[in-house]
Amino acid sequence: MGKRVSRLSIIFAIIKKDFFEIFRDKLWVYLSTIGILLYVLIYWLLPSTVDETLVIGIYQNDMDEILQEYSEQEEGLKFVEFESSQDLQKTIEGELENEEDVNIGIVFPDDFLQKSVLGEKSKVEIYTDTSVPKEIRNAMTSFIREMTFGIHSAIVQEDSFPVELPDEEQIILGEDRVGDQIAFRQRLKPLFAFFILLVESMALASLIAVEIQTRTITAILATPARLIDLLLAKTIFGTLLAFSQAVILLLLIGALGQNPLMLLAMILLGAIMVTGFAFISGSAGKDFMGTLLYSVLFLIPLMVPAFAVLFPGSASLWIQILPTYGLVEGIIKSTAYLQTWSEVAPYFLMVIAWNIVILSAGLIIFKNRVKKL
Amino acid sequence: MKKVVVEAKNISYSYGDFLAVKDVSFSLNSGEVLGFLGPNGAGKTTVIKMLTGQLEVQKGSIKIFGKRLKKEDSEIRKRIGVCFEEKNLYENMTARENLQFFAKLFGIQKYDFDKALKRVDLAGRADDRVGTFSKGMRQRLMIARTLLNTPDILFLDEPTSGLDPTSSQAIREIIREEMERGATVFLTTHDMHEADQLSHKVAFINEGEIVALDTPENLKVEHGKRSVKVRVRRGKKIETKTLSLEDEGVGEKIKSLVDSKKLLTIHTEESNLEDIFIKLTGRRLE
Repeated sequence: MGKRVSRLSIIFAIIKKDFFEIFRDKLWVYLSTIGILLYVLIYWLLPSTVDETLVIGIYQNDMDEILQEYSEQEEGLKFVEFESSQDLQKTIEGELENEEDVNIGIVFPDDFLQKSVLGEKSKVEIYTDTSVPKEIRNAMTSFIREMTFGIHSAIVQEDSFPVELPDEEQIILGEDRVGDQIAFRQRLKPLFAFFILLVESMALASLIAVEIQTRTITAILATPARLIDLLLAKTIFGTLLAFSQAVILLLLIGALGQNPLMLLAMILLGAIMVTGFAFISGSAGKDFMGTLLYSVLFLIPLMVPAFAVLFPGSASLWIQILPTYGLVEGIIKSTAYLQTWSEVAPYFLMVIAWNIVILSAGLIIFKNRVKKL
Repeated sequence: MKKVVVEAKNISYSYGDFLAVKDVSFSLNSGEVLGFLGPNGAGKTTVIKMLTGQLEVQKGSIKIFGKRLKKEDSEIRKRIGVCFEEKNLYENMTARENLQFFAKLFGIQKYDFDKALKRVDLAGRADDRVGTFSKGMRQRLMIARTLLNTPDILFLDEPTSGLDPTSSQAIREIIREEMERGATVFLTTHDMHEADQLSHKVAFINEGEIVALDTPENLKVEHGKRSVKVRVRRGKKIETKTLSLEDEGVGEKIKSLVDSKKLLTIHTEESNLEDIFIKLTGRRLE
């Protein structure tokens, strides 16, 4: 019967053939090159700095002079007065419009001045939205304490205790996203790789679709190659293709500087995920348009978590159950917020679980489609 | 003594509710050519797919080289060559690259690709992309691919369908060479002339069932007309008549024609496979 054909050499031959094929596809080469260059260009065009002026919404009574004094003393502080504490809350929540971007609010009780003079305790409420870092929230607490001291010493002319400091209650409106202030460009940096991954899934889907539609798959399966060899080869090829493109982009925009291992691990999982989606759309579409339709159908919801991360506070439950949510959160948490492996572990687990589901579904659909040829 | 290399026993296959192949049985000895004849949709391709392990037999059994055919049997696949009806080649790859890729799948380390391409008259186009090839060139490359592993059994699904006479003739010549090498050939076609020329045995398949299976000669004898065609002079005119050899007194009739010196020519008139197919199935091969 002759020598057995090695499974590895079969898998390697299919991967090599796929690389040959895709790099001969002029449309793919143009689109991939232009895509990467475009992302790099967009990256460099985005603002690299953050406006450091802190806008604080204030609700108070009889404290105009004191606040004016603070505003002049402290560089980078801007107070915006509100008629009621409800208006202030609603503005921070985004329900009311304001000329200024108010995402921190302090509500002083009506008797704050009186109680501060008498050295008595009062309760000040601090409202912040999800994008305000912990450090800023703590700074607000210090600011109120300093102000209480200031009022007491200025009016009572005593530079000493007894002063009862007020209780501050911090209320965060929306999901808490603790972190540093991050420029839009920095926040978007690793997400470019995510976008590249999604686009690559379309390229791979088209390669699978062509192989099915031209029935070259049946020719492969008439040789000693088995379906499992083909599935493995396509999975490895798809993952390598998407992963390498994303890494090239990350290198071009210098995004591998922070937590590179964690980021690469996430990108690798993302590449496996998009390969799974490519199997589904490549096998489900009966022709080029069908494949394109399925690809776009997947692409749109899969992009949503990326936008949710860019605009904090909007990640509702339905977004969190999307397969790419864990991926996007993991990328952002590991690079922008420099979280540790244990902190990012839940997102890794989420992505791995989704990968098992998507890849299994993709392989089953692909296998059934091949059987029907 | 010749060995049975392909044996199908009562094989059936359904696509959903549609029974495409019904209780088909046949065997093929080494070095034989079986012409599997039938119109489009008769079940020829389904049978070939079952024989090559692309479809799992739902009922019955298939033995190849005396071994029951299993799903994805690499050892059997190594010894067979399949030429598909559809031209499933990689269009972005050259003729040589296509062959090189499939050679790797067969585990072939050394192969003279130039010689293989020359054999199918594609030596001059070896490094051109298949996307630029004509239908005939693609089909010839398909044949070269089928022969890569020097197969013991060749499954050829409509190898000359839609080709110009020159390309068809070239492919028939290669099939003959393979027969001389000792390869067993399972040939599906709806070209009766081709089947008659190449096959040791022919099977007629219609609506998933084999309606006749024998050597072309036996089929012609069994199902053909026994008649002669005569041309006779009647005054200044020449008449052509067909005389059935089954008719009573036909011998005397022919003798009197010969004696009268009016007989110009006499030819036996054998049935061809197409006539027999029509007789057996009531339909033409299209």
